Amino acid sequence: MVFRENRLYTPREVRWGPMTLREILAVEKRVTAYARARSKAQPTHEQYDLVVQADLPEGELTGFIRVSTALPESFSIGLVYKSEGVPPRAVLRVNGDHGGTHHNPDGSEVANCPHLHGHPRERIDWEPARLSSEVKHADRLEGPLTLVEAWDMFCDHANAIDEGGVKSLVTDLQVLAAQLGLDLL
Amino acid sequence: VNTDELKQALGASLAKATIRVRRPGKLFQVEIPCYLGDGDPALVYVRPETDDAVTVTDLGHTWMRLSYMRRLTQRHEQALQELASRYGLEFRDGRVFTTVPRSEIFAAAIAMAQVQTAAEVAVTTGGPRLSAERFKKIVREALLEAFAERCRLDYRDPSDAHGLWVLDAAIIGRTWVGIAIVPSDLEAERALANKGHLVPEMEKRGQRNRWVVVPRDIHMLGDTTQKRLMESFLAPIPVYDEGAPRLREVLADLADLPVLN
Repeated sequence: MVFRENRLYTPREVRWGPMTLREILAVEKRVTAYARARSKAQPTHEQYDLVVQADLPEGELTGFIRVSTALPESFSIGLVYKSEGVPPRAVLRVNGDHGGTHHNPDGSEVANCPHLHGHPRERIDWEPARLSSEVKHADRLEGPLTLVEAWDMFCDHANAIDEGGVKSLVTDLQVLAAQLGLDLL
Repeated sequence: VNTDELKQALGASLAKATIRVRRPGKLFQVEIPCYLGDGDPALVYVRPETDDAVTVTDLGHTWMRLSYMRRLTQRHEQALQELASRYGLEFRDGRVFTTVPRSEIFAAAIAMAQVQTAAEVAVTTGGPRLSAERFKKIVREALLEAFAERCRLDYRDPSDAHGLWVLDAAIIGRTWVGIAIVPSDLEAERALANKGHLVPEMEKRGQRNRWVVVPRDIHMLGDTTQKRLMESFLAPIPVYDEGAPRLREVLADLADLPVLN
């Protein structure tokens, strides 16, 4: 922003970047996935990274899918915003039931269920540079939530269009993860 | 093991702990009042091993969470190993864990929670990291050892009378290979500028040239710098590993040279 006058600016006038969280969420995204093989260091989860194409004036979006192989109901599908000069910002995340009680910044709790992570609602018009890197608010989702259902939910909330057959990949992953989880039993 | 026995083992000081059976008789989840940066709880799981011993584990969730926002490398792995070891735990095969007598579940669960809350900071700042100076020295010595008189350190093009565009090294083979050693964003930008100046000079002379970058860890560079660098240079080894012999073979191949022993 260029300050042209010698006066105080209200927070509403000052923009920390060209887009707000609301605008980033609203922009249409086209998503494909690519796999990264499990290495020696990560035999505990299946991981796919998402290539997210979106018309953004600045920065870029990426995404990820992670599924615990020991506890397949614990998974995570997330969207991340990256821009030069600002550490990566989580935008939203659909989590399976990893267990335990999540504590929200407003003091509310979400316990032992799948949940949707996002930034607190009052920050929806903030630019990424002002947001925290973590998505600290979580809303309860009705469980049990399958990975495929979580993918549909992710697409809805992120305004994402699956252009790379991600859903069929997610379906395969759900079956595979369930089989791997049996190793523990 | 059952939930009552586990509660007893966790002790009165963790009276608020709740136990959730994740796989009957096989896997329990212990929830203690300890939270991560995004408000999620620290994840502590207990798996019975023998009559007296149990494994307290994160089932790999710490490593999985760290992978959300970054591409994990050996450096992150070492940082987490160090952190876990500081709390008396192990990090191996993607899991933080320890096997203890039941009487020590309390201490192990607390340690597990502490590792998880500190992991984000530990992998961002920790881990053994070569200094820029040491990294450059190691690569330069390795190049000299591999290519002897074919390697010119601090290469200066004949057209550069004032030494303004000095390159870290060049391998003089049937093909000329320029080498930039890049421990940081600043050095990456210097390498790009050097190449921008030297290529036209070489083209004037009709000299065939190839360009290789040896980064300390290309993922640690800024996104734009990383992209610019990878468009201009070959990066056969994106993360330098002191023990890896591959660089010598790759460079010899690019310069159309036999590898010296």
